[in-house]
Amino acid sequence: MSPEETRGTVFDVQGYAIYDGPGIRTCVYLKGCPLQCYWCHNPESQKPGPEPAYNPRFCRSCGACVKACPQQALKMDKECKVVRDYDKCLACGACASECPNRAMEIIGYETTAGQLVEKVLRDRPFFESSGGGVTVTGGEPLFQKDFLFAILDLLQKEGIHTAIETCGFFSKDLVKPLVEKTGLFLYDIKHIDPAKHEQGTEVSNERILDNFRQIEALAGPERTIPRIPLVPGFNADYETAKAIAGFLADAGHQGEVHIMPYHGWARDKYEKLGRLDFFRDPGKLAEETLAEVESVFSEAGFCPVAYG
Amino acid sequence: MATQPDVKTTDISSLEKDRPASRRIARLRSRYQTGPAYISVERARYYTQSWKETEGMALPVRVASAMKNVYENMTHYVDPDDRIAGYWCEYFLGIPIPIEKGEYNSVLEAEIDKKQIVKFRVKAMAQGLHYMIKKGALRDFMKNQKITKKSGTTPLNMNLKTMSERSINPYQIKEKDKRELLSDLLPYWKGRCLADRLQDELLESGLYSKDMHDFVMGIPGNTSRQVMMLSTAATIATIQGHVILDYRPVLEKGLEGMRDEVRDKLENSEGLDKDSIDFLKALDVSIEGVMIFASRLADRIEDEIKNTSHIKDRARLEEMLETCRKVPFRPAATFKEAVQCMWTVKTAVELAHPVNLHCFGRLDQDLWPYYRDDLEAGRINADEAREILEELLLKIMSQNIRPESNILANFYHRYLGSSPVTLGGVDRDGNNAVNDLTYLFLEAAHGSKAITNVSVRIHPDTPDELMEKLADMLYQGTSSYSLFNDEINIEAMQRRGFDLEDAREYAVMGCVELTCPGRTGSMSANALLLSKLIDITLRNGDSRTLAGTLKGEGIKTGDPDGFKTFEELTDALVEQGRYFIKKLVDGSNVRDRLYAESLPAPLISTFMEGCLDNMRDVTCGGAKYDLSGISMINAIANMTDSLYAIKKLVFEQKKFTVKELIAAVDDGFIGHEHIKREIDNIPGKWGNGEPETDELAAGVMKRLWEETYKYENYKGGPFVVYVISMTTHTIDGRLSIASLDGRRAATPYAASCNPYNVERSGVTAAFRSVASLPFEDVMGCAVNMKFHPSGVGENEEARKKWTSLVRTYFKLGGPQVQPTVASAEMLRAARQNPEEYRDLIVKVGGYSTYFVDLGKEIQEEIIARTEHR
Repeated sequence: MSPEETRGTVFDVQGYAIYDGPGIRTCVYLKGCPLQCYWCHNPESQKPGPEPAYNPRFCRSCGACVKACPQQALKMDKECKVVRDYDKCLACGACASECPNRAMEIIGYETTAGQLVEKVLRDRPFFESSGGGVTVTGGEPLFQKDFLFAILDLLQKEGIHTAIETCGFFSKDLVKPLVEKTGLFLYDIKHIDPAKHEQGTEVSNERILDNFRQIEALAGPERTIPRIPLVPGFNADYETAKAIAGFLADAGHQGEVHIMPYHGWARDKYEKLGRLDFFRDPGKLAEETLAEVESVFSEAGFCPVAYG
Repeated sequence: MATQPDVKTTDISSLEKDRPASRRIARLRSRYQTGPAYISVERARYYTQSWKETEGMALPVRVASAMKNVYENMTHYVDPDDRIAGYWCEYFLGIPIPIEKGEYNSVLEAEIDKKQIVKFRVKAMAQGLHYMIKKGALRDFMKNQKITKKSGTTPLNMNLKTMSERSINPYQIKEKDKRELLSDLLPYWKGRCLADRLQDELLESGLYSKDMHDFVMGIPGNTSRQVMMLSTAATIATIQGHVILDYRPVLEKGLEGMRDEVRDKLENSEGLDKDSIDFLKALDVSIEGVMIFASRLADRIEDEIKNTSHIKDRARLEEMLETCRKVPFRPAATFKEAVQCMWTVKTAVELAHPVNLHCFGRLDQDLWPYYRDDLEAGRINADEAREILEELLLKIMSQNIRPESNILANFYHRYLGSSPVTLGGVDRDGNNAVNDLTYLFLEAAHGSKAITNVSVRIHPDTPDELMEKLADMLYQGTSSYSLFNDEINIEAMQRRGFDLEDAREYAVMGCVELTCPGRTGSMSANALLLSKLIDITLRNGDSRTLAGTLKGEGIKTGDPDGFKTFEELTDALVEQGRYFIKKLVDGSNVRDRLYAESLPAPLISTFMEGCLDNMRDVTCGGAKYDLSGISMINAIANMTDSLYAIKKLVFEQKKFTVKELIAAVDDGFIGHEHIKREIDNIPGKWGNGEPETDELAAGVMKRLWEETYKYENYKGGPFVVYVISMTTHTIDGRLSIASLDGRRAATPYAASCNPYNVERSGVTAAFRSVASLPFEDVMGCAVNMKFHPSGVGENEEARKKWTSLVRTYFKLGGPQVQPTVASAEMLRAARQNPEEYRDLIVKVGGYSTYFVDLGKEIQEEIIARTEHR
């Protein structure tokens, strides 16, 4: 199959992304992730296929979706809000087509790499004037590796700079081809302690740290930027920061380190997906903690950049 | 010659809020924003007094003499917070009445007095009812009232409050002034004022039908005559407004020098025809009038000094007096003199034509030589100059108010429109013209928070530093500026007949309209309403309103269900467009002829290049250039999306007939939810960077624009195209039925050139769609983009990216952008009207969301964050 025809599932395409790599970029959000971080700010990205979302604020309780569902998976509760039986739901999208108020939505759609890249290339003038390009993110871009490589291939042929935002949890065989096809790595380092890492993300971190070392070695520090989501109660403390700084130095990294303070705005997304019970609010990140973590990295000789 | 600034620009956030100067400016602004506004009757009184006594006088001289009488008798006002002197009436904030033009006469007749307002409401209701019964439209009207309610639109405020009692945009008026207006002045001008005579002429010419007149009179609460509705799809302005005066002669020669020139010509006038001589005489009287205005202003300052014992105050007044005894009589030599000279002249001429909407032009260019010399001589520093500019911007703002009717006051705020100041760009030779004053003006805009729009011309050679300063201003919350694309605008000017050098000197007037300052006659505005245009096409010439159908408004272009292809439909639309454009041209020329024949403008002509040499009034085409505008609005987005919906649902998918779609629209989609849903679900509507809709919009608009350029106006200039709706997209939308792009009845259209059905594609997609319209054929367009502060960024990197964004948009052919930063207030509004803010994104790395999709709590948090940046 040609790269153009390779199919995959996307859940958003956002132009004028200014915090996802150099210049003005278009972010392509791929669906599916092997991790399940409890603080995830894009929970709709975790499952690989299209899934339904319901925004009760826009719902006017007309019942059109209930009537339309071929699986009878929907019913109206006592508060006149719609309740979904996820075992019956096939994410067919009938509810979304019928809803007159945009309260029902299917998140994630299938497309081909060719169609996706054609759409993304329309913003080329903005990339060229700002030294920007395309950032593939998600979810985890490597979760749909064939799709990702098809996208990177097509963009490379067009001379567009590419970046990926990755959690690093993928087969080590993919490291070399990835480094050949990708301009910049925005690579999440969440925790050095394997047990703590697994507690927070459902997977251990050995493979992630190994892949980082490989990529740092092959691509070099200019093309490898560690990103640390700073989550209170999980890794937002002096010790963890020191451990990460130590790991990075050891891996040969120099220069920028991005710190992404937790922002707590994803709660509504969990509600829309009917997964509010999975949501754990880590609480507000104290300014002093952020300052402390930043100074750990400065003192270790890196350039910490805090986003948000 | 302008040079690159070596004065490092101030970081705006560091401008101290507690300087005494800042407090003064803050006081001024606060009083302008919340203090009382008055209706001033003096101008109307003294104009009328003179007019009554000068029957038989040559018309231009008669007009100039009427204004001279005003200047001789009016009360001047001096404020303790003034450093620049001069008001156009006896109040700190007031509006003189342009009684001889008369566009507000019926508003004043009806709405300043309680008894009158009741009388007029009853009369209007009776007229409205009579109209609807005659047309059998009463049932339709009641049905549409129900539909409007279901749309969730709040009912229009049409209460019985007078102009002074109303809560939105009230005007106070002294009791005796009220009586004078109602029993004396307004009755005198009834039938005599231009608005009345225009109506008569249009009725006589058949351009304005009796039916349309009845319809208009029946519109509830409608007393304003700013605009004449020739048709539901076509309106012409009553005023002949929008002009930038030529300040060079008065700055360089003074009024004395100008008067000498005129008198010289009068002395050597053998062989000249009567019209030319009368015109020269009118100029002489006009100059004398402005001199009287200026010297009486100085007298008034002198009076103030006599009554002031406070030392600092005396010093302030004495400085002002010295300046006002010199300018505008003799040439200006310093920055302060130049500013005062321009302000005195503008105020005097503005008083002759209130609400004509004069603007200053390229003030950073006009004032630069004076500022540069002052700096070199150590006469001034940047702080002092900035403070003067802050006051100037506020004063400019204060002369942009309108005594509008209650119903329109719903849609207006106190200072409507922008009366812009133009900055930056290139000089006559095409070189970068940005100078120190350019930056100083930006800081003054930020410091004064005046609504006066600062229009910044951007050229590829404009320094990045300026762009990044604009980004910083945006981030700090200043949203009173617009950016204009020099490359495409200079091209547009040339295509409409401006010489290259004159094109390079373009300035912005009105809201966003391009002109060559000081050389172009008053632009008369007209409008083509696009949603009506498509509606009329779909009804084979009939026009549907909230009060029934007006038959035969347009031409018969065929039953749309009879069209075999979509192209036949767009051809029919363009046919209708041709018909209405011709109507507008004819109506506009009637209006212009009426001004030329019965209300010349000697005061403007005095300060307009070309008029003295041609010995012709500006209303007769005396200026070097002239133009009339047709604004194509309400809206490109809605019309394109409606066409697109028909293309998909009728011609491609064959799901519905046009008749069925129209029936849905007539019912406001109630009972036709499946049709609305089908329309809503069509992806790729205009503004989302999708090639199909981009091509559709560009194709149709190009044809309509080409049609416009076939015509010349009464004064010998071209008809040009604008895309600027001001607030009419709200007013018009509120008074209109639903449309086939899915827009509900009685809701606003897209503003100006903005996308309407935004599908979360982001700003780059919106910019690409807008830029794909052929703007080299448009002479002014407004494109509003909202950014959350995170999208402009608090660091240098983000500012650079924002600069790239705008420069790329311009390179793609975008004409203009008015960026607004989402304030906390706007974010709260977004919660009430998520449909209007679908594209607002709070930018965080790797995060995908749209503000309106967020829940209340999180929105609150973001709002709090936004407030405390």
